[in-house]
Amino acid sequence: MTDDRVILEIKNLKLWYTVYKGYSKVLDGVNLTVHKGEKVGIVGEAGCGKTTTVKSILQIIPENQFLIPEGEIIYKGKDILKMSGKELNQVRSGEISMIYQEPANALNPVFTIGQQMMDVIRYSEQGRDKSRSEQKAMVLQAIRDVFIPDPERIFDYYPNQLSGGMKQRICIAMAIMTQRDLMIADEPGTALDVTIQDQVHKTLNKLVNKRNMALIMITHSLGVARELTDSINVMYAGTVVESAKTAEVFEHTLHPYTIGLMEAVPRLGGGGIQAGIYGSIPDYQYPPKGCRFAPRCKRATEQCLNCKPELCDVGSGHKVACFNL
Amino acid sequence: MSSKKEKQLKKALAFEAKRVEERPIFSEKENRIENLKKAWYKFSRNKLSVVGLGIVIFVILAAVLAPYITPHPEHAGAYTDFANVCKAPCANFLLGSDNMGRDILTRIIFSFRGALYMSLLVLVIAVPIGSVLGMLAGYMQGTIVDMVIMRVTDIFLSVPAMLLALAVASVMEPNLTNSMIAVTVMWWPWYCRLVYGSATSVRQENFVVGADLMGAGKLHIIFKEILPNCLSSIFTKMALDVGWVILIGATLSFVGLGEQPPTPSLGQMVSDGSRYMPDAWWMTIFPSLAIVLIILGFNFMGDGIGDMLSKGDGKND
Amino acid sequence: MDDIIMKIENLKQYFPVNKKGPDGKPLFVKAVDDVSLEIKRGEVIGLVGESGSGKSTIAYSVIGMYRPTSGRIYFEGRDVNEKRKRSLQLKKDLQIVFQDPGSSMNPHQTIREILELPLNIHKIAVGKEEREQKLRELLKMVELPESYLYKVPGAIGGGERQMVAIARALACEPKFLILDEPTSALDVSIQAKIINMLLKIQKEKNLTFLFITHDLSLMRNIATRVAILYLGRISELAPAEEFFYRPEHPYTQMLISAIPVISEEEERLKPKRVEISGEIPSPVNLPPGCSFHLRCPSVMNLCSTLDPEMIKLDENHSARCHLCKQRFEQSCE
Repeated sequence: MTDDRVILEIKNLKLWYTVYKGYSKVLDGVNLTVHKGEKVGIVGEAGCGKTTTVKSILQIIPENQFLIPEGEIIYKGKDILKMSGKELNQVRSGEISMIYQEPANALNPVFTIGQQMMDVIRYSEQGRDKSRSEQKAMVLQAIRDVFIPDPERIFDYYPNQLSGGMKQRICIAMAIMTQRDLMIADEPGTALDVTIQDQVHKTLNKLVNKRNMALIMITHSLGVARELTDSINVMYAGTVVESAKTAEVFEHTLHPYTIGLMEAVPRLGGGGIQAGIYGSIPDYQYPPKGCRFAPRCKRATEQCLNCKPELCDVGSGHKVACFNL
Repeated sequence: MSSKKEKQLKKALAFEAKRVEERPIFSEKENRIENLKKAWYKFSRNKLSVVGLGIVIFVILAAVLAPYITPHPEHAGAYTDFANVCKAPCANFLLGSDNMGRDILTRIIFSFRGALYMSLLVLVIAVPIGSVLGMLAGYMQGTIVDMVIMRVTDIFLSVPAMLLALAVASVMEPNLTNSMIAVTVMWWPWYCRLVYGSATSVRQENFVVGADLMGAGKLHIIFKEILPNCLSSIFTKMALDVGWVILIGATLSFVGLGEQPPTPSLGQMVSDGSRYMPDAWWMTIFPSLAIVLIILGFNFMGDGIGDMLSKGDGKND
Repeated sequence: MDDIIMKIENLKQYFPVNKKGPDGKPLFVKAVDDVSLEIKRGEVIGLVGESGSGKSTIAYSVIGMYRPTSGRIYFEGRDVNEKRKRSLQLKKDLQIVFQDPGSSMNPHQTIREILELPLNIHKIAVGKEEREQKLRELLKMVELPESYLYKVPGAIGGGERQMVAIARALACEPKFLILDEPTSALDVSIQAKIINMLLKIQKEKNLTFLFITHDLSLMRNIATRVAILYLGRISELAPAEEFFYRPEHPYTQMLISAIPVISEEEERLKPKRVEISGEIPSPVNLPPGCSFHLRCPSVMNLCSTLDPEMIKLDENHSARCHLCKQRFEQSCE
């Protein structure tokens, strides 16, 4: 893979939140690569830092709450952490878009859908010079693209008149209205029912394929990641512990945490659930020295408790951060 | 990265380099101390709150130690010294003297006593009455108890507050106690309404419903489940209210319905001094500034208390 | 010997909405529309459904939050809503664990106070020594360290909070435990711990569970019998294995085919992929005939006019569908 196919690269990103009495060292060296048109999944449990990672790509964490001691986020060759306000706005309005977990909170309840979507177009790179009717046509086309029938009627609806699944699809429509190169989806189906979640995921999949966008999909469900992504990054306590193509991760699972996760998922064939992973996520104010998973790992050795394993390639692009494979 | 961020970063790295590795395990006593420290941290995030706290402590100490720290303690009572009438601020009279020759600084500090005493008593009576009624109405929402209590509250709130206080104070003999009664009468409905709002929303929370399903009695639910969750709004309002009660007290004494002379009270000092404006400006300006200072102090502190009792990390949540 | 611990008979739970329908009559949200179910002691019965299906409403009716609009609920043979207020003994025997551990515990109380509440109400372990021992036992049962007694719920993680909620529900030794999506808000690894612990306790003490979730894979591993609800009615009721291997009702097939699984072998176990179409209709305006017919891939003419009834396809397997009825009648000939 040559460098120009890489659209986003996060190199050794560390992020500390300022909290009472010290710092919460959430991200401890995140390494992530996204190629053009690739669908990358970030899988991890609550508190592992996945939302923090994507929020720092778009720099939407309130300014005085965090510090980045080390790391780079390189988007199309430029480091986002060093960008000026104007450049950052350009990235946010024309290059990267994001959809959130709770559609109800992402839409303003006192404006109609049409008004909110027109606002997005009006301030975007590609839409600001067009006339109102052209902008409206773009909006209606976007609503049609997410398979919602009768866009004219939806244009005048308020968010509370739509169901959860439709709201989430409108959020997707808002995200794809103008041509973007990277879309970030933060657990888009979690707040919805199973059948609706399925619909939303399918819609997302079709759109991303059609427009050849890169997608970063965050989820805590391995099953969802298996269906929607080309490659998976498994995160634990602020680091990427395993990163490989989707099929590889499921067939040759290497990292003990990923193995533990797979075992804990209830199977459709029955047979009970294996016991979960012993212990709980570390306290980020006093994280363990060395590998952050070591206190919970069955294979932990002296080395694991004292040195932090780096993400290294064990063949055909499959990267794992562990000393004991 | 801007230089401010760089400095922040250096500070953070230095802090991290020397912190202790081990994670402390807490016993019960240590847990409590930790909670207090956390509360202070949340309070002090806003510098103004700390300033407010400082002013409040100063006012309270000044009031308590008034006879010992004032330059002319005897001026706080009936005292006349016509030789020193209306003297401008000077070494002997730091804030000037009034029309009876008394030191204004001393009288201001002594007037803190009356003001604090009044606000303390008003709040100690009005807050429990208003809160209990509000909680009762909130817990029994929809029943006749709720309707009766809230309509009575509405009636009290519909009369302009100042008018009510003046009306009550004017039919009784003018003195400090009666003006306190007047202010209490107009104050409790605000708490009733505040707590009613809190109680009705808390009572729908899962843990209240769960306690009821488990078989807990009504008294337990009201005092152990609902009350602690309303306390934060009650305390915040109380802190802010001290300033306001003092102001209302000053207003009452401005029109002669509060503390009677010769006991000094801020409102009366402002009123007396207004006749000598603008020549002896110090007689009005300094007591007015004192009122402003007290109210600002309590307001800032009240903000801090609101932050302290909020969940999470305080201001930036 | 069939020891039936709970019997729900024709339960209906309608909530009034402040509007009037086209014919002038007031409108209701039909959250639960004629549900009947018999639960044996020691079973783990699962209720599955999407939002609006009424599963939580059934749980809340059983536990006493709502009085049924019509229908009865019998616990150990006696009607639970006989008197206006339930007896203390009944409140002790029926317990519930809510979905969100954050709001089901008072944030201002310590864990000790939270666990002591049921012990105080039902007068269990009254003496000081006994009390301390009982608290320690409870914490050990859910595998939490003793030092947690003095923490507030806000200071511990979501999974641990849910374990405290479970300990609290088990503190008064109930006979019947309702679990309303206890692990939906939690991660997979914590879910595994909690579920294993629950199953262990259930076997040890022969408790009966009413388990509600929308996660079908989880249901497969916990429940002995599964009932699937759609818009307030049971569409299919079957023992767990049959439910998953031979689902009869089209809605069941649709749901199972939509589960995201993580291995090829599981893919093979799923029924053929059914295209999901349409939205869930609002429970105020139920469509005529079968409530599912607007989304059903095998809809027939009959379905839009006549509401199907529950028929027994087997001793333990019943479904409410015209197509299933036809197939059953054909196979009987």
